[in-house]
Amino acid sequence: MSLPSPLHPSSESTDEVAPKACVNCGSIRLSTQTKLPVCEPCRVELIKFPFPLWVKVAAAVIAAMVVVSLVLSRERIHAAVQIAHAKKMKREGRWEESYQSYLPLIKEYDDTETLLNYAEAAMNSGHTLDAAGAMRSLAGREVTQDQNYRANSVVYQLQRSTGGFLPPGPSIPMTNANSAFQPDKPALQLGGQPNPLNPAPAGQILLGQPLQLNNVPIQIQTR
Amino acid sequence: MIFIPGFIITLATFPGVIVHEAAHQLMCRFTGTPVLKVCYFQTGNPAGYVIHDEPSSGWKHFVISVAPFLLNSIVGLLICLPVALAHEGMGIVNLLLGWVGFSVAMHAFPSTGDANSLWAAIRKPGASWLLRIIAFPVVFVIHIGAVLSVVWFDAIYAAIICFGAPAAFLEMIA
Repeated sequence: MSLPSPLHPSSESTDEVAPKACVNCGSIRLSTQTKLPVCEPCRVELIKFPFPLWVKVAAAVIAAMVVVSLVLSRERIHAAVQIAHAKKMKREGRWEESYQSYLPLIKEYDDTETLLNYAEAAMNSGHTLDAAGAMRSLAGREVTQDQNYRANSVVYQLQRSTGGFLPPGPSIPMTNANSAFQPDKPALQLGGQPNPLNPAPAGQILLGQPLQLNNVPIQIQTR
Repeated sequence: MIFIPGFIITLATFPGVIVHEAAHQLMCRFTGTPVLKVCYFQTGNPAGYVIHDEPSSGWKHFVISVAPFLLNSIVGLLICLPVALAHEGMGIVNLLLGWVGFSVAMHAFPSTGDANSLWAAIRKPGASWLLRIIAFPVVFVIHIGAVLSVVWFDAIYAAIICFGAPAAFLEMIA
C-alpha cells in the first residue's frame, strides 16, 4: 500500500502554526520542492530512503531465484513444448505425429502419464511393438482410475491386434529402477477390491496373466 | 467457500508483501518522491505500507501506485516458470520456487489504499486527461479486485499468471 504523507498542511490545520524549521535537522531554510517541513538536503535524503539490509538480502535472494528459474526454464522449455505438441496431436487424432513427438521424449521421461500417452499414440498409429514395450514398462506402477481405464483400452487393442499374443516389443530404457518389468507383479496397480477372476485387485493389469476389462477377463502373453 | 483469516494468508505469502512494498519504495526513488516511512511486513491490516510525499505529478503517482502490479506479476511469473514447465514430480526446488513465485504474484494487485490515493491524484485540477483516461479503469479494476478478493481473486490471479499463462503460451506454440 502506498499512502500519501499525513504531514501535509491541510485545510483543517490552518490554525496550527506551520513549522518554520526542518523537522529533521532543525535548519531554518525549508525546501521549496516539497510541502513537507524539511530542508532541501533532508528532502534529498528522504528520496534516498534506505532499504534495510534484510530487504537487500531478500531482494538478492529473489533475484537469485529468478536467475535459477530462468536457467531451469531454459532446460525445460524444449521438452515442455514437445509434450504440449504431442498432446495436441493426440487430441486432434493425429496419432502418427503424436507418436513421433513422444518418441524422443520417452527416453528422458518415464513417468506413467507420458508412457501411457506414448502407448496410446503408438497403438493407434500402428506401432504395436512400441505400444507393447511401453505397456511392459508400465509394470508395477500405481495409476489413477482414468489411467487404468486407458491402459486397459491399450491392452485390449493389443490383444485384438495380436490375437492374444504379443511379440516381444522393444523395451524402453528406464531411468527409474522401480518401473522395470516385474513378471510376478501387476503391470499397473490401482487400489480396489480383489476380483475373483483376477488374483490382483480390481483395476490391476497383469502382463502374461489374465486381465480384466469391464469384468471380462482378457489375456496378454509375452514370449 | 473456505475462510482463512487474513493474517494466516499474509504470513504464508509474506515474500509477496515485501516485494510489493519494495516496488512502491523503489518507484518513489525513481520518481524523486521523498519517503517518510516504510513497513515491509506486518501481520496487521494493511500487511505493509509506504508513506511518501505527494508526487510532483499525477503520472508519478500513477507509476508509484501500479509498480507492484507489474513487478510482482513479472517476478512471480519468472520464478514459477520452471514449475509450470516441469513435467514430472514436485521436488524441493520446484516447491520452493512455486511457493515464492505464487506468493509474489498473489500480492500483485494494488490495495484499495493505492486505488484511493490514485483516485485523489487524478481528480486534482491539474491532472491531465490522458492520465485520467488511463488511471480511471485502473482504479475501477483495483476496486473490483478488492471486492473479489473474498472469493480468492488474488489467488486466482496468481494461478493464472504463474501457471495459466505458461500453459496458454505452450498451447499456442505447440
